[in-house]
Amino acid sequence: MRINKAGVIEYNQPLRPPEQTPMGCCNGISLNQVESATAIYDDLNSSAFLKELKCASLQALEHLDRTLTPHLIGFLRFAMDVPEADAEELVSDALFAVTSHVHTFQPGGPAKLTTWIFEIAKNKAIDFHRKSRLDSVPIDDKFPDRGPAGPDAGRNKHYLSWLDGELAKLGEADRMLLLWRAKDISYEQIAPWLGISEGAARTRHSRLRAQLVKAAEAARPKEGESQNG
Amino acid sequence: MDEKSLDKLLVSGINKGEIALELNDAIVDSLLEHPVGQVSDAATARVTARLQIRRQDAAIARSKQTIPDRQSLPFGRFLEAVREKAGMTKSQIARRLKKDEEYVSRVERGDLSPVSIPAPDFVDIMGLFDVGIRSASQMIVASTRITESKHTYRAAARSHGGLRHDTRTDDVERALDAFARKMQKKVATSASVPPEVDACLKRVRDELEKRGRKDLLV
Repeated sequence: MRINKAGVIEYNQPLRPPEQTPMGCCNGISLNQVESATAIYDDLNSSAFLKELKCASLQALEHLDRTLTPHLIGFLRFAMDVPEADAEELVSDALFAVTSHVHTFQPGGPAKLTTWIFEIAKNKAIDFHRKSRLDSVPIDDKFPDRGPAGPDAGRNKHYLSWLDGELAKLGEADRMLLLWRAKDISYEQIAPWLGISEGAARTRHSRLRAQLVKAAEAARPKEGESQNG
Repeated sequence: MDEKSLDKLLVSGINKGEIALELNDAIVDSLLEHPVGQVSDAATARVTARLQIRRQDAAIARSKQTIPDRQSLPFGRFLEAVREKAGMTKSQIARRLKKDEEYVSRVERGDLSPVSIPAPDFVDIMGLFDVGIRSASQMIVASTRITESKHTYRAAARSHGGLRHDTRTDDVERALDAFARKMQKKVATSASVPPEVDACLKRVRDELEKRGRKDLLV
């Protein structure tokens, strides 16, 4: 700071930052600039947008929230079976976690930013189900799951372990088809992921289910066998 | 086991995380293009509002760490520095405090002295900026002393043809604050707290106790 000849105080640096740039580390792209880009989801996956997120730009984060929130709520509610109120809480947690972990995300890695965020949301849903034990309802009248203390405790676990092994034997496309159909995602939506027609996806799914049901019968524990062993 | 049971078992395994449901770019792009199920606008609004508050609180907490020598800052200038570093606008702060933007401007400029802010409003500000009573009291004292000095400078400036109050810009006010603060550091200041600050702090303590905000009573 110095006083010039006219007696006016001059500052070496402006007293106010030129823009509302959080923490002074970003280029500070404005919300309007983000919204005017051609494709919203491509923008979320652009390196410029990632840079803003890594600087914890409030504008970028709020744009991310507004854009992804409905999709993530839908994914958790309808694909991960999380009740509505809990899905809202989990989406809030997942998107907030992005703030603290986005510096670990590497662009050009195995997944896009949006995929990475969906993965975080999915893991939140899995934690939720583990904690709430909502899945302790009977799977089948023949194989009741009465909870961890019941006489059939462990049967569900036995079948899950068996099923996991069977799924590992399948190809990636078959496994994906079985799992996403179980989550009620339409053949129309799944077929392009697998590069096949809707009809082919339907036929293949039906064959796979029949094959697994048959294998399950063969793997069923005999009466009197230990269910935990 | 029938096919329906198989699907239930698959869903159960996925939900528990015992069967991995793979997500890749193609799947997520497809889910973004064709959302699964309808989500109400109200649900989206609830989540984004909740997130906005969490993000603002986190930004305020981060920016507070970057303010040096904050005890000697006037209360309003501290709030302004934190707000700007957090990338928040006056209107966002105003919304959080359930006040208008003008109120935030007046508090930041020191036109509204901290001692004249009603205790409930002051506690709202302390809560938003997570400022404890000890830090707040130091900044209120700084505000009071700097305001006194500024009165003297203004009077001197007016007698030498300086700017009238209504024509001074924010930058001039800020410069005046910075100058007064610098001068305060040079003169030996008494340790005693002005009585009006003492009275203000008592009201604030009572309000904090009433609200059960023990975390801010330090």
